[in-house]
Amino acid sequence: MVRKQGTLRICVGASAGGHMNELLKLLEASRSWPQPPAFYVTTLEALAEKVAQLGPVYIIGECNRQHPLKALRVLMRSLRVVLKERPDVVITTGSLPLAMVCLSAKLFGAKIVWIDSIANIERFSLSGRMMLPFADLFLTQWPELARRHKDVEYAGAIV
Amino acid sequence: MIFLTVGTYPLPFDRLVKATDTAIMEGLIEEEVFAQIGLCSYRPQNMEYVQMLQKETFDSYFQKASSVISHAGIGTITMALDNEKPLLVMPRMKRYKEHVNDHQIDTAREFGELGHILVAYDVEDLPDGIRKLKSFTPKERKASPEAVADRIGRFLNSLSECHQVRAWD
Repeated sequence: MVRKQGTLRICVGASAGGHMNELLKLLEASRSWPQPPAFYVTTLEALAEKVAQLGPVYIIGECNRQHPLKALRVLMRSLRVVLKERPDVVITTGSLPLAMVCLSAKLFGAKIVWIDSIANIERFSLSGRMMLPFADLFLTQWPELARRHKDVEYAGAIV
Repeated sequence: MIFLTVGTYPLPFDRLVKATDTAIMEGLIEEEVFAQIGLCSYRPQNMEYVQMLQKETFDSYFQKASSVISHAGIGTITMALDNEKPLLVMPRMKRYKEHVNDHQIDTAREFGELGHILVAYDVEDLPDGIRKLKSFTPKERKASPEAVADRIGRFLNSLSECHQVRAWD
């Protein structure tokens, strides 16, 4: 792919609710990033309007582990978004639908930054554990969890 | 106005909506209550409610509220801390098919112990929580979003450099 030297296509995404809340707070503090995100991914239409103020947004729908068929549909939508946008890096605060985006993007060589939600105190989320082997940077917001896992960093709490 | 929300999680949380509805009926809450009930099948009798609000409308209800009652979702907890709203949470539980696991109990306990929120672990605790809610002052929380963003910034900058090298090849 021909691309301007050193320009990263950054995808950021989060499920509706707390995950998105954390992501928006992270973005407010993201002045040190080399580029602003190229596009956004979330799960509910109710958020489309708000996120669209930041840039192009894709809605991939909700799913959880109890509905494999829904998860498959979200995976297909994720693949479509990734094929269209070709991100170099995906940054997300979760959850499972965004893990689908990460896996789809990883398939095409993208780097993954996974920030496990602050709601996971005793252990990582299921989607977090799923992403552990694939993430290029895995952050937790609880120091104790970082101490228990190598390859996991604690850099602070977003909220 | 008290704002009641079960968040955006794609499973119902009838226990909380029903218990709050009962509290109004029993005269424990005198203030008007407005609710976002999500996928609940229980239909409240004593409050106005909608299924889902657009994010911006949600935010404005949140800001107008004198206090908030909600599930123990981190989004709602953070919003309450940002807006200095007294918040009473009840955790969604796996056993009632309100969530896929019990992490909301951990979240509620941690933030409750830090003095940021009030917690009702079950329907029976709710009336007591409601009584305390009126005079509750949440403890301020110090977070460090900049530190997290900077760590990611360093990672992105290292990628940018690799990218440049690749482009020159």
